[in-house]
Amino acid sequence: MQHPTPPQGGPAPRVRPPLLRHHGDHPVAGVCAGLARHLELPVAWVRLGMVVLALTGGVGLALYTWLWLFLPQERADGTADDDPELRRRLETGLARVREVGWPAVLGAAVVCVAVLVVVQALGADVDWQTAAPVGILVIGLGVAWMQADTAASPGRSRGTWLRIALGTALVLVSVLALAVDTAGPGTLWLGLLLAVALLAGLALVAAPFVLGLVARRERERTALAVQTERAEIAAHLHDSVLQSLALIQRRASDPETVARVARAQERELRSYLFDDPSQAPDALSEALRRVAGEVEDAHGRRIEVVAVGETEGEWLDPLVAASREAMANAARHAGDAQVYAEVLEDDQGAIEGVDVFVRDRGPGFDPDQLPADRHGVRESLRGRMERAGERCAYAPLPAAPRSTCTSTPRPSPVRRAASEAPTRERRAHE
Amino acid sequence: MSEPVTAVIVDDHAIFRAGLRADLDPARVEIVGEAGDVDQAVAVVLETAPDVVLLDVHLPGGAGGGGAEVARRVLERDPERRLLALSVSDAAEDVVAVIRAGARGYITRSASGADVVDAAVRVAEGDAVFSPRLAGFVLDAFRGTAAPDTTAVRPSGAPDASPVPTDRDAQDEELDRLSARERDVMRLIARGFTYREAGAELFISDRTVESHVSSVLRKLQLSNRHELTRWAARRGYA
Repeated sequence: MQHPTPPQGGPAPRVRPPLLRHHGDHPVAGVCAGLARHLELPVAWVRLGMVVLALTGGVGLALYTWLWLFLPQERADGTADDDPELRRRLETGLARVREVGWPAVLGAAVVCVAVLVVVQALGADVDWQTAAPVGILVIGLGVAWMQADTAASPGRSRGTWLRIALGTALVLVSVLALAVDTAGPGTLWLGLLLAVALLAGLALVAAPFVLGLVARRERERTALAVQTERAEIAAHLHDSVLQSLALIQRRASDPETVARVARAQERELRSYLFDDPSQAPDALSEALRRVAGEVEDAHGRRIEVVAVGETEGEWLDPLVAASREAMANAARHAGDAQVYAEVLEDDQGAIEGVDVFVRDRGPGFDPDQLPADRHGVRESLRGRMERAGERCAYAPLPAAPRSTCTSTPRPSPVRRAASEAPTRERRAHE
Repeated sequence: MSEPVTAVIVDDHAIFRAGLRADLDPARVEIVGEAGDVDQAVAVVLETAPDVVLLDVHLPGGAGGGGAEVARRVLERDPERRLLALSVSDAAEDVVAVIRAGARGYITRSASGADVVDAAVRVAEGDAVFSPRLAGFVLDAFRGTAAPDTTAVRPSGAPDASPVPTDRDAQDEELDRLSARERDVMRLIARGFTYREAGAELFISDRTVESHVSSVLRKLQLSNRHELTRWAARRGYA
């Protein structure tokens, strides 16, 4: 139960009429009438009280103005015209001031000065030392409050901050002036000290709340970032996986296409999920995976790449191209293949070279008995590796030496492409 | 044909469990249970006590530790159980975490049904099963660097007998590197050789290959080598 029901039979709680500016009955703005209705007092008493307050230093006037600005106007049907939320009401009140803007503040100041001058001319004793600071205070507040709404929005300009600072300075100066006037300069310092001490105490009390607020905002921002990332992943999955699934459904009767689409999609998704984005795109393992993917797509076979160690550079290009040819051979003649690449290092950790092994499960071949018109192994593999440098080599590995005299299945040949890296000194010149 | 080995399939996707079940030769592997999350998996495995557990790496439930948590919790209660990790993930930290938690092998899901059966039977018999990819991870993780600890690496061709560890430090050091023979075996497995083919290549029996692989598995599980702990720590299993 979220709302406990009031006890049965008890007297219904009396509800005061809401505090609104009165719709009908008003000589000025309906403030007194509305207040009277809310307080359940005769209107005349409230008006009388307001006048009395106005005569004692203008408090009534200030109160009236304040209420005028911030009380919602009552509509003909009795409901509030304004947003009932206090915060929104404050904003609309400020908006009302802002709508009129600078002229209102200046005009109000001029009118006040004029009224005071007239009052003095009529013989009354005007305390200018009090009136001037009060005027400055009002102007300062006006200047600062007009920025309240823009300051809360993210795109605040330097002018906004300047005006807020100016308003604050005006308010502080006027408050200080009033304080000096009433207390005298001697006590002022003590007062300032007290004020600072009080503010410090308040800050201590408020600190956890403020920090909590900041932390919560930070959390909300993080949550938003996570949500954004999730949306990005969802978008990626939609663009790739869902499209592939749709394609597969449409081409369900064509197993070769289905397998190819599925394999390409798997590869793409794997690289999206597991690859280190900081890794250079021309790194050895990346390059081998890329060409393996191309061969997979072209021949509809599965080629798994395992790479140990990592290196990069142009000197790998012939090796990668030769490996691609070996993979294509395997896929064409034998089926699925296993690729193993290892970066060789010496004792000091300097790179000595790279070995790439491409292995399949096919029947194997004898490189010396290939027909003369077959260029794959001779040119693309051996020729390419030999041209790449005198220390580069391609070796079709013989079948396991003892396989002939046993009845076990003959292991297929392992084709080896071995490339030697130039020494470190030579690489620096390239 | 001997009795089929009993197995439990642990995977959060029912469709994958059904597919795997259909793929496995019932004459060699008998499925005695299935589970879809960590807690369920621990309960089912402890109850049915299968010869081998086919364990997915990513699982919901429990403390969020996935397959590695299942392995740890099962082995705490029942150290005799044997687990084979079966995952679609290529990420090194996933693989290493589940192996360090006690799984005796790792193969990828793209393996054929016959491969899975072979691996399951071998793990059930107490062997270690390394896919080419796992062998690649091992070689990468135990890769010699210019760091001082590699100065102790024995030159290749040196005798393969393990020196008697004199103290705890020596033992740790022994765990932190592969012998030349173990490295050769790992290389051949990474190249796609079966144990028998690797043995023929190295002029050793496949039982010897097997014992090298088991020894590597032990190092993988016990070594405090930097790369291993880094991978494991990233997943929360230091």
